[in-house]
Amino acid sequence: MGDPFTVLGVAEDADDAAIRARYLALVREYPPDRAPDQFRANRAAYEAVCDVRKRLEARLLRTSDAALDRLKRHCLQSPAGGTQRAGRRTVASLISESILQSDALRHGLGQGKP
Amino acid sequence: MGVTGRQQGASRTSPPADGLKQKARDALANGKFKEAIDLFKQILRQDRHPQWRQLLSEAYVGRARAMVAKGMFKDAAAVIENTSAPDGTVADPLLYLHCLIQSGQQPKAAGHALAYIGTAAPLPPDVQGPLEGVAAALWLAHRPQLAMRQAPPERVRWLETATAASQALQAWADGLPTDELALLTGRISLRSPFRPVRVLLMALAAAPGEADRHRRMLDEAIPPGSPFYGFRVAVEASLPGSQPLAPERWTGLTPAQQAFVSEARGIAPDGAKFLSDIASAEPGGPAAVFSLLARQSGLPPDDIRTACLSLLPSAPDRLRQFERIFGALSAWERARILAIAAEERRDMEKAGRSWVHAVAALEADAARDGLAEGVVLRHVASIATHPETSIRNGRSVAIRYLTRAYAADPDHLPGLLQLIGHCREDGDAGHWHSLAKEAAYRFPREPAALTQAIDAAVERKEYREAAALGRAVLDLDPINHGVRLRMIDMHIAHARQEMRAGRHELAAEELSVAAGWDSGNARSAQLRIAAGIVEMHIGKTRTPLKEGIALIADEGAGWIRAATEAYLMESQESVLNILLHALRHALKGQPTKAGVLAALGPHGHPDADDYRQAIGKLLPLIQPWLTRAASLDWLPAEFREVAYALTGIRGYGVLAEHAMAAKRRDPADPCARFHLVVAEVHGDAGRLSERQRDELVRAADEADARDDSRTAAMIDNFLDDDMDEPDEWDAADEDDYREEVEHLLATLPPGILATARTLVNTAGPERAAFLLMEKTGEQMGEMPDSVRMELCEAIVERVLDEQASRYSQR
Repeated sequence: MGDPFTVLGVAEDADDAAIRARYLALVREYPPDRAPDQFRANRAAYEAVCDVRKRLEARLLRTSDAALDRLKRHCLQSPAGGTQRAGRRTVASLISESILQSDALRHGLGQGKP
Repeated sequence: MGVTGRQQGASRTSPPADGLKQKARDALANGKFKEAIDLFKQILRQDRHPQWRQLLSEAYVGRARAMVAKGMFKDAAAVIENTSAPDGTVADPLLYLHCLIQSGQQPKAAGHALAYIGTAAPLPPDVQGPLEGVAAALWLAHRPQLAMRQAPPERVRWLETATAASQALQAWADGLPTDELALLTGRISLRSPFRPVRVLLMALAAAPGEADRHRRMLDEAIPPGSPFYGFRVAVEASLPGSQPLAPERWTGLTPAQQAFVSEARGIAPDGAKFLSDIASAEPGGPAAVFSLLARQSGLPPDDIRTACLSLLPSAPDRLRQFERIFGALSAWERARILAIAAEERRDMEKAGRSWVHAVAALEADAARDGLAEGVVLRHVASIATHPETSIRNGRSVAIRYLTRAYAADPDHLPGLLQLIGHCREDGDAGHWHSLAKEAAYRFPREPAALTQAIDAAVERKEYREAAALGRAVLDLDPINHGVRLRMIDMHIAHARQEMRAGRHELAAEELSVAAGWDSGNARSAQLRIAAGIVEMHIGKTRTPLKEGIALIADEGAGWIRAATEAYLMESQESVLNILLHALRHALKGQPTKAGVLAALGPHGHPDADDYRQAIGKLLPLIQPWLTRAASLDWLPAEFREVAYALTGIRGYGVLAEHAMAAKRRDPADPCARFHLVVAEVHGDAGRLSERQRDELVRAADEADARDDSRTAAMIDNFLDDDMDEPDEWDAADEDDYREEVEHLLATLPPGILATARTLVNTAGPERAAFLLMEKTGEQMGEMPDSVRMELCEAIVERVLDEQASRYSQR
């Protein structure tokens, strides 16, 4: 299971009520009948941090990737806050890689005879 | 005539050329493409008919496909080129393009794909569709030069759309305003293979609030498998107004996608580099990530410190390096990190000691926090009773720490229930009774706490108090079968006392009160059996007895329960004889699994030990019936339950039969092997022979291999009955140990540090300690291997410290 705070999308200092509210919102968004795997992951994360003692257990007794995760998020923040542009060469490389990974030709192999 | 005969007949009458043709066709049909190519070439030299050219092409394509299956894309492309027509088209264009793309010849593929646009003889739609999509993507990526003169009109139109798509992409890359970009994207036909480009650019130029709508359009226009799908993934990660990118999503992107997202989202180049570096470092493990983090200077220092701190339990050899860079850790943090590190190595012994040290540091802290203290103390208790921990009096240690946890955090019910559970198992009635009473007082609306208080009251024979608590539980939880059965068992236990004292009428009254707790959904068989026996004494009907036996569903098990109840009540001999007579008759039937489990289960909770003694008296009578049950097809969990019950009633003969049968079902079954030995020594570990002890050790290893910790723990406990265990943990131990290692380090011969430095540089820190131990055995004199290993690890740590110090000075 990943970091429960990250899975739920709540801050590490969130209280019981905030965590429960967020969990219930996720249950509505990913109900067990439509997204069983996501529901299980959310449930496990909620169980791990639903009260103050469990949050302490997670913080004091186990290793956590949360801090490293926070650093990565910091690096991923875009200071400009919106879509910029990408160089023509970057776009060409992206399309080239996209073609290489594509299954379009594999599906049609063996059918093309003039 | 059979097929073979027909072929033989044909070969006798056909000219030699026909035989060659047949041989070539057979080679093609049997997948011998190389042979088929040679043969069709020979035929073509004699006969230029187009069918042979067509078959030769099929042989080339077959050979190319076989090469593709082996990953030989470049060779396969060369083979297909043998099928080239004068207009440049080949026999299987999709396969050919696939080979060119996979062998890194995309520019060539881009030029070749155009040969199929607007041709006089169109390809089948299932080929034309994917081919045009790939041709469009290839054209945008490589812009092949093409002579427009004499090009068919359809190809000219195609190239006009391609140019429009390329210009629109360039306009977005140049940062043209949205309205100008819209004019350019509008020139890309939605029915052309360049439609994905139009949808992608519209998404990139969309207003922040429209991200969801564009995501749906992308989903519809560019499905997985499309040559633009990788582009779509990158665009989705860059949509305006979308949430900050999650690290796991970033990691899932390819390098080209990451480059696009970096530029499109305006992610700082330093940040993108750090993310790329960390992705490269992570496969190297926590120590490699730690080293990378320790070198970062452009990131928030507090976040770097916290990230490094969180890595320490997985890389404890970096502890000193951490303290050198970020300053000394508190005693509590240091001990906590060492404890988690030990747990990760599954060294529960060391984990326990480090946690005890951590608790001492936590308790010495002026700003101590009861909740945190409780969490750690409860954790120490759980380690003390962990199956992999072997300390003397693990349960006593657990009780001591759970008691301290309860004092630090008295509102934690699960911790209190754990404490009560351990005290009950320890047989410390005074302690658990008072704790149970306290639990009921402190948690009056918690059935689990009240149930403990009921059990304590029943054990003290304070039936009135137990009944009041039982009613309180049912007020909270009316369908609580557990409490109903407990209350019935309590009245039955009381009725037994009355019966033993000869007060049959009072026993009957007690059982009629018990009937008040009986529930329609879970009727008590034991209550009816007890009531039936009491009524036999006072000359009434035996109907309840028959009802009770019928509820058990197995006649043999029902009469065993009845006879046992009669023993517990010290029934009159005449009644006992009637029951034993009925039992003898019932035992002639075939036992069932449910029957055996019902007969052996510890019924009548307050008198469970008495029940076991009573059924032990019946053992000579029921032994053949129980032995016959050994041949039933018991599941491992069922066998475990039966074996446990048979051990409890000291039925070692039957236990041996059941264990042997279980061993026949699974010869390596550690539980069966354990119980066979237990039966051989009649449950006395002191009688174990060397062979039996070895067998138990092997069975415990097998249990470990099967992750059967329960059997492993059972065997360990049995073996430990007459073995010394390590002493309990003491917070002072860790300090003593550190002092000892520091002393040894200070008195080391100088050569050892030099050797260690060389080993760290050549073999890496992880292997250096082991190699050092091998190399310096004699220099370190006589000391136990475990101490030598610890010392070598400390030396390697010192070398790493030196290196870190030099690094930071630079």
